[in-house]
Amino acid sequence: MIAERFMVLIIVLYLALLFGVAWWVQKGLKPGSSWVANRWIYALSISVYCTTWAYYGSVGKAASDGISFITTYLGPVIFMPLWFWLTSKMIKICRQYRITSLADFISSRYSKSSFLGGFVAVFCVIVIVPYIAIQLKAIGTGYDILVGNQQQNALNISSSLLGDSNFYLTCILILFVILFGTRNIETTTKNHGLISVVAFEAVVKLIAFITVGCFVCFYVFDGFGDLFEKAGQRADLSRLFTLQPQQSNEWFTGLALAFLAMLFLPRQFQTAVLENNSIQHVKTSTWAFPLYLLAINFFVLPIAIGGKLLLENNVDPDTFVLTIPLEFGNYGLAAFSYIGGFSASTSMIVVSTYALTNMTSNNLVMPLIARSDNKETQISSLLLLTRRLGVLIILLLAYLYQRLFADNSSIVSTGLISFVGVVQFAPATLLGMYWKDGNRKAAIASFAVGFTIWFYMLIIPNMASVGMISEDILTNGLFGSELLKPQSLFGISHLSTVTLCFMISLSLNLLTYLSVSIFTAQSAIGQQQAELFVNVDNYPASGDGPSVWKGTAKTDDLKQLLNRVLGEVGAANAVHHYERIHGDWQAGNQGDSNRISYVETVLAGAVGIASARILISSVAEEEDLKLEDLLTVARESKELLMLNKQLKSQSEVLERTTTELTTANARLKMLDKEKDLFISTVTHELRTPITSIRSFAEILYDNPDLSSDEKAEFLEIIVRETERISRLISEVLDLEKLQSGTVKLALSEESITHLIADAVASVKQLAIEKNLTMVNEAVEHDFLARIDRDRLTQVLINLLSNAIKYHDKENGVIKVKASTEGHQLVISVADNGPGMEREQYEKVFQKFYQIRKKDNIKDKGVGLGLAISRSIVDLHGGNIKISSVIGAGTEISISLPTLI
Amino acid sequence: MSKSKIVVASITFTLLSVVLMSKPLLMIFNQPPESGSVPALFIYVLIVWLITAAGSYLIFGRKSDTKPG
Repeated sequence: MIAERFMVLIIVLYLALLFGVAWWVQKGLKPGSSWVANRWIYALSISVYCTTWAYYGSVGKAASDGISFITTYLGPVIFMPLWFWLTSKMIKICRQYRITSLADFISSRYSKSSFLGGFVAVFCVIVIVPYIAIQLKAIGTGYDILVGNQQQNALNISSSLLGDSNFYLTCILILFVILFGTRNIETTTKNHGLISVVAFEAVVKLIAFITVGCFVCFYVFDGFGDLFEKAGQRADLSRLFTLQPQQSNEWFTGLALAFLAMLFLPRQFQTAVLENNSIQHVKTSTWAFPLYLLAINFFVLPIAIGGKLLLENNVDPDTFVLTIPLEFGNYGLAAFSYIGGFSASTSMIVVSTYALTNMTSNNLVMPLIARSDNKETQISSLLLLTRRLGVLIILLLAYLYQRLFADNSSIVSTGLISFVGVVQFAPATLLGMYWKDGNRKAAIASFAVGFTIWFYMLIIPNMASVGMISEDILTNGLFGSELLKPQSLFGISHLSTVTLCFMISLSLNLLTYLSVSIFTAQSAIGQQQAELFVNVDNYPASGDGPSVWKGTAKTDDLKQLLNRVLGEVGAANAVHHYERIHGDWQAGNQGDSNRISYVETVLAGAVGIASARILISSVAEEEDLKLEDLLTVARESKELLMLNKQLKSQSEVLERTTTELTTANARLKMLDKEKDLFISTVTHELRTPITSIRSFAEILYDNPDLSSDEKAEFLEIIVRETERISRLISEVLDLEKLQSGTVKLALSEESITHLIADAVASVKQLAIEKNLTMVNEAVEHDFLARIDRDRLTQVLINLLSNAIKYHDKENGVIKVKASTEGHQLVISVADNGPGMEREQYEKVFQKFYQIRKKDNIKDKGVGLGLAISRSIVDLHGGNIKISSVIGAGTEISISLPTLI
Repeated sequence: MSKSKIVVASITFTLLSVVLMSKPLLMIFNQPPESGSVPALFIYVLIVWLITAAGSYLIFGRKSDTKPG
């Protein structure tokens, strides 16, 4: 056994660590941002689903009933996609209407009924307190086993409180929840400190359980094969590997029960819905949470059969995760395993207590305070006090329950009773989110029916077993009727009481809800709330949307009310937020429903919807809502939504136009720059021949005695320069016409072979002069194309003369080819000349660009030939491209989509 | 994935999981194990579990282009 002092030290250190984590997270938070608000922490925090039931109870259940224990964890897993949609909608509703708890959610959906809110809160306390108690008991039992203190199991209320370690633990937990759970007046504020502790404990319990699992499978036994082989030799154990007939009948209801419980357990609603920061986190949890559950359940069956094989029959299977390591003298592992179980229970206790406190304070106590309000009470301080007292009372109740009754029930059975209890909220809550006709009376009736059956079938037998009532009702049934026996209601005895209760209570609950909804009418406010819940997507987020309130309220009264509930700072913030959205707080008339609704929503975030409504009624004179008012609001919302959509599409159009304008502007600027460059180049090109002409003309004029040879030479230069000017001008004009689009092509069907032959003939003489060979390979195949013959000839001559002009080799060859590629006509001119650099490929098509020849002499051309050629090819809808290898030659090809 | 596709995928996958966990299919694997081998039902449940997690990952797990709300 482990020394008591040592265990106390470990527990105290671990608790200090939890306080440290919560304090560190809370302290390190910057307003509006937190690293804690991430998807992994969220996924880990919803694993608060795994309590000591998963840690100790599952092993116990597996040891007695075999594999059927798994339904509790498999249920949420197989319905995960459904869980995503339901949880996402709940999150949207809660965020939009500042809902603070499950009770608040139900009360808000059904006419903001304070009665329903209070009812749900009380019922949750009744259902969950025993569940919390059983967690406390598990901590105590585990402790006693580790320190070898078996006799303390038999504690009763008469023994000393001070001698009970669980009492101290309860006090510490009370302090923890008060410190980290009741810091803010607004319950819609996220509790990152508390949630981070839950996530931390989720990791600890997982690692601890897996470590024990590995210890059993791989240290104590020689792997899974060895374990299962030994178990297979014992009939009582091999039975655990298959489902017995009753278990297989109850398999599916087990899955459904677990899934619904996963939605409606207050701790799950708190972590999954109210503490959620982003829908994206829910998406991640749909696969991360099942993997967590798989990891924590993987070793349950091996540990259970391992325990059965190793330990005496009188050892409680619920404690195998502690007793197996102890049996093998591995005290360190036993202590670590205990800390795992401790984590599983404390995280559940902390979150459940916090959730129950919010429910009871906002839906039970606050409506009473609000009703008896004398308009001067500072509600904010009362609110925190109420919550702190709530924590104290709930945990003390759980502690008391644990001391009085918990010895009589196992973890799993108590958990199952709670599960069936909370699923009674399912019909009214789930249908309420999707069906507008479900009404308050139906919700109350369905809860009443469901809870009565739950109480009768599951609680009465427990009360009888502890002697609180006579066992007569169990054996003879109510009024002596066999059909009314609690554990086999309506004479059904082949199912377990829990399964039977789940099926009967949920069916009758649902039936009641549907029939009462169909046959009774809904109040105006009920219709409004139904619309707001069912069509939550149609209303603007953050509670600033339209709401129905008919009546008048003074702005000062509203401000004072905010002051009283939120304190000076909170009220000032709320007014400031209102002014940012709706304009001046004081503006408008007293009946401005926006302002009143806004204040109601803000108050709801602190005191719950029902209490907020009562408080508002105390300062506002409310008039009865009529159907027309609802229709007006519905119409206004629709109009608002349409306006929003219009505005959105208009702003999109505007954005597009702006982009287009920006592009056009950039293009204009570029064109302007190009124009300037063009003018300066043209002027420069003109000035050179003109200067030359003028100089030679002056020489001729000033020197009449020049020899006739000299005169002839100078005159020839003048004529050549004049030709150059005239060519420049005609080419500039041509290019301008081509680029401005004023040129219309004279398209006709032409033979490409003829066209190429003509072009080759035109430049043949030039080639001969430079000793070059022209090879026309286009003669073999003829193609017909629809082209402007003159223009395309101009392009070809240009390409050919360029090839000749820049060729620098002896015996050079220039080849012209024509081919087809699909519907494209491709004409190419290739030479084996000097080639060109890659960066020149694009430049040669620019106006006035000329490649310098080897001797660096400027060509007599003006550098417009390729620019003109490209424009002509463009007009034909084709393109022109260059490929070249330095020293090996250049090929320019034209593709035209004009083939016939 | 568009929202409507996610909805249909969710429904399809939930139905598939329900079918895989239905009694007739379950009973196929509900056989006593041969000596030394891991029970078939245990393995079947683990496989369905993994399939379900993988399905959820395919439907919801991949990063969407929507900004977390």
